[in-house]
Amino acid sequence: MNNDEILKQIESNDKVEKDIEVKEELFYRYLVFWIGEQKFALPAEEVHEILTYNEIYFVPFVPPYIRGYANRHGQPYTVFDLQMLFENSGIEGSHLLILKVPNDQIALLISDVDEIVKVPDSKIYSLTSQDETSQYFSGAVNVEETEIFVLGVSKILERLESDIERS
Amino acid sequence: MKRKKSSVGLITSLSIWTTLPVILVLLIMGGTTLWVLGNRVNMLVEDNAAHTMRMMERIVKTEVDGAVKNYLRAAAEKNRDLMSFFYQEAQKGEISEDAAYERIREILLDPEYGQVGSTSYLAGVTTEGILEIHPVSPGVDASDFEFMQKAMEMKNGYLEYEWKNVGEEEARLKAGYLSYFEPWDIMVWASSYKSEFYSLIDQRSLDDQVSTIRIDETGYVVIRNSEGKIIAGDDTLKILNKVPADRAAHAVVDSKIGQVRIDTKIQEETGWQVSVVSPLSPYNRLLWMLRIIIGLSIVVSAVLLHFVIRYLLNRTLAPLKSMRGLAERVSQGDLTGRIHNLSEDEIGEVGVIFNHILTEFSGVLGNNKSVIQVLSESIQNLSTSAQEIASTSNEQAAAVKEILSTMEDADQVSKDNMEKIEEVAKIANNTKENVEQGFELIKTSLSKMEEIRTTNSETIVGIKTLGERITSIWEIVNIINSIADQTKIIAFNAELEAAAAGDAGKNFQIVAGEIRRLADSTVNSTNEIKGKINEIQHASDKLIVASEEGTRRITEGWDISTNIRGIFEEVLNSSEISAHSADEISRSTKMQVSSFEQIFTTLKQISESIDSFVESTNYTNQVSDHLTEITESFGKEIDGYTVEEEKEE
Amino acid sequence: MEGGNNYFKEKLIFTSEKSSEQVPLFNLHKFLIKLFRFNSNVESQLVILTPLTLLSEETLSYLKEGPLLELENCRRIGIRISSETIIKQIPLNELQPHSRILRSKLKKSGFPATHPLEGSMGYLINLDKLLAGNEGRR
Repeated sequence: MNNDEILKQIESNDKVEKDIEVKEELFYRYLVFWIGEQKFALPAEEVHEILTYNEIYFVPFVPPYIRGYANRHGQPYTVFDLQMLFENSGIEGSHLLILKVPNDQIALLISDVDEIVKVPDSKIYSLTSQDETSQYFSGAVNVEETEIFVLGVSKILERLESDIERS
Repeated sequence: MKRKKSSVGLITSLSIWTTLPVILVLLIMGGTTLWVLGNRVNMLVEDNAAHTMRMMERIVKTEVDGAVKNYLRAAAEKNRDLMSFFYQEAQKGEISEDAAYERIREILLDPEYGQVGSTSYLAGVTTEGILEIHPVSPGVDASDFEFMQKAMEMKNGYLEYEWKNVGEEEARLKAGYLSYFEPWDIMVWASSYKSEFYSLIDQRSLDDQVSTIRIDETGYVVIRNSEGKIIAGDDTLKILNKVPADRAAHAVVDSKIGQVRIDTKIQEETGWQVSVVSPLSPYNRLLWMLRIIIGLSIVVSAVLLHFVIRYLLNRTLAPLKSMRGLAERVSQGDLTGRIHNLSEDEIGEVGVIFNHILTEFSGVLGNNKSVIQVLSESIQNLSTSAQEIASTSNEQAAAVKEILSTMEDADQVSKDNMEKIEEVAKIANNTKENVEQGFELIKTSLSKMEEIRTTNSETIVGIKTLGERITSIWEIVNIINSIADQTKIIAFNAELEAAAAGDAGKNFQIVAGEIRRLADSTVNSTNEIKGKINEIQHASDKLIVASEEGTRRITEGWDISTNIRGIFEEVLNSSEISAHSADEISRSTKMQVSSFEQIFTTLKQISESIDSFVESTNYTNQVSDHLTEITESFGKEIDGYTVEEEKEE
Repeated sequence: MEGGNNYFKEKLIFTSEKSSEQVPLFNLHKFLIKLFRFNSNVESQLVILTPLTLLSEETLSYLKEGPLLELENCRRIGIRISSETIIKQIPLNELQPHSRILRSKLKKSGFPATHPLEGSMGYLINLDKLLAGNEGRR
C-alpha cells in the first residue's frame, strides 16, 4: 500500500467508530443482577448505587418482605427482599441496590450483580399479560438469547402501601 | 380323627336322605286324608241339619194343616148335621121343608154364629156352584172359579186355595171344609184365611214333638213365631239370639258345648222360624284327634325308620369302618392287622382282597428285612475288619514315621553340625579380620542410615513449611479477590453515575468500563491462582503422606540394622574357636552322617509301602461306610412297617 | 398484639402513714424484646415513674378501662426499661424521619423517628402512643 491508501484506511476507521457512536444512541442500559437463583433487570437510570453488604436493622410492624432498614449516609433506607415477596422464602443477600425513588429511601437486597448490558430497542418487551406472577414486572429484555424480567419498582411500592394500609 | 367323622357322617346323611322321602309321602297322605275327612264331616253335618229341617217343615205343616182342617171340618160337619136335623124335623112333619131350610139358613147366616175364624163365615153352596147361602153375595154363580169347580167335584172334604179380594194387592191362602147335604144339594162351606188358624195349633203337641228331637245328643230344634217368641222346643244353649238376622240361614257360633251350627228357615206359610242347632264339637274333636294321631304316627315312623336305616347301614358299612381303621394303621407302618368278620357281599370281597394285599406286602417286607439284616451284618463285619486293618496300619505307619522323622532330625542335625563345623572351621581358619571387616561394613551402612533419617526429617519439615506458606498465599489471594469484587462494584457504580450523567459522562463511562474489565480479569486471574494453589496443596498433602510412610520404613530399617549390629558384636566376641577341635568334630560327624543315610533309605521304603496299604484300606472303609449308609436308610424305611414276625421277638 | 394488658402484670405499692398508692408497671423492656425479636433473657432492673397527667386523654381513658381499672388512688405509672440505659442529649438534626412509605404506620404505632448512627440504628419512642396499644387496634 502507498501512503494515500494508508491514510484513507485510517480515516475510514474513524468513520466506523462514528457510526458505532451513532448506533449507540439507540441502546438502553440495564443492570442485571441475581436474587437467589433468578436473574432480574432494572433500567440503569433507576439505580443509584450498589453497596456491598450493610447491616440491616429490624423494623417492627412491617410486612415480612421488608427486611428492615439499612443505614446509608445517616439515613434509613427501606430494604426489600423480593424473593420473600415472590416466593415466601428470604435470601442471604450480600449486596444492596440503592434505588432512585423520588421522595423516599428504598433499597433492594440482592445476591450478586451480574453485569450492565446495552440492550437494543428491538430486544426490549413489555408485558402481554398481567397475572399474579408478573404483576411486579414492567417488561422483559432479551440478553444473549435469555429473557430477563425487568422489575417494576412503582408496582412493588404500591403493594407495600396497600399492605400497610390494611394492617 | 377326621376320617372317623366322615364315616359316621356318611351313615347319618344316608339315613336322613332315605327317611326324608318317606316322611314327605306320609305327610302328603296324611294331609290329604285329613282334608278329605274334614270336608266329608262338614257335608255330613250339613246334610243332617238339612234333613232335620225338612222333617221339621213337614211336622209344622202337618200340625198346621191338621189344626185348620179339624176346626173347619168340625164347623162344616156340625152345621151339616144341624141341617140334617132340621130336614129330619121337616120329614117328621114338625115343620115345613121351606121353614126348615129357612131356619138353617138363618142360623148359618147369623153373623155371630156363622163366623169362621176372624173374618170369614159359613156358607152353603150348591153343586152347581151357586152361593145359595151367603152373607155377602147370595145367589152368585161362582162356578167359574177354579177352587169352586174343585169343590163341586169334591162335595166333601178339605181344600185350600188362593183368594184375592177386590182392592187387595196379594192373594192369600184360604182353607175350607165342605160337608155335603144331598137332599137340599147344599155343601156346607166353612172356610177362612188359613193364617187365622195358626194360633189354633196345638202348641203343646208341637212342642212335644219338637222337644224330643235330638241331633247328635246335644243338638236340638227350636220354632219361633214371626215375632221371635219360642212356640216349640227349648233353646237350651241360649244361642239363638247370638245369630244376627242377616245370617239367619246358616251360621257357626260358639256355645258352652263348643262350636255349633245353626240352620234357620222361615216357614213360608206361617212365617215361623225353624232353627236347627247341630253341635260341631264332637266332629271337631274327632278331627283334632285324627290330626294328632296322624302327626304323631308320621313323626314316630320317621324316627323309627331313621334308626332302622341307621342300624342297617351301620351293619352293612361296618366292614368299611374296620377297613378304614386298618388302612390308617398301615399308613402308619403297622402291617399286622387283618379284617375279620367278612360279609358275603362286594364289601366283603374288597376286605378279602385287602387282607391278601397286606399279607403279600408283609411277606415282601419280611423278606427284605431279613435280607437287610444279613447284608447289614456282613457290611458291619467288613467295615470292622477294614477298620482294624486300617488302624493297625496307621499305627505302624505312625510308628515308622516317628522313627523316620527322628532319624531325619538326627540326620539333619548331623548334617547341620557338619556344615556348621566346617564353616566355623573355615571362619576360624580365616581370622577375626573377616568379622571385623563385616563389622566395619555394618557401621558404614548404619551411619548411612542415620544420614537418610536426618535428611528425611528435614524434608518433612520443609514440606510442612510449604503447606503453611501456601495457606498464607491463600489468604493473600482472598484479599486480592475481595479487592477485585469491591473494585467491580465501584466500577458498576461508576457506570451508573455515568449513565445518569448522560452525554457528559460518556468518557467516564468508558473508563468505568475499563476498570470493570480490569476487575473482572483480576477476579479471573485470582481464580486461576486459586486453582493452581489447590493443586499445589493437594500435591504437597500427598507428599507429606508419602514422606511419612517413607519415614516409617526408614525407622524400621534403622531398628533392624541396630539389631544386626548387636548380633554381630556377639558373633565377634564368640568367634574364637580352635581350628583343631573344629576339624575333629568335622570328621566324626561325617562318619555318623553316612551310616544314618543307609538306615534312612531303608526306613523310607518301609514307610512308602505302609502308606499305600493304608490308602487301600481307607478306600475299603469308605466303600463300606457308603454301603452302611444305604443299608441304614433302607432299613429305616422298612422299619417304619411292623410285620407279624417281629412280634415274636 | 394487645400491647396493653400483657405487659401490665405488675404493680408497685407505696404505703405511708397517711395513704397507700398503687402504681401499675408497664414492662417496656419485655415489650421491646418481643417486638424486635431480640434473643435475650435479661430482666430489667430499672423503672421510670411518670405522672398520669403527662398522658393524653385517649391513652388515659384506654388505660382506665384496662389495666388501671381496679386501682385506687393511682397518680403515677411505672415503665420498666433496660438496665443498660443512658441519658443523653441529642441534637435534633441527628434524628431522621422514617422512610416515607413506612412513616405513617410507624408513627401511629408509637415510633415517630429514627436515630441512625455509625454501625447502629436507633428508634425514637412515643410512650403515650405505645401505651394506648394503637398498634394492635383495627
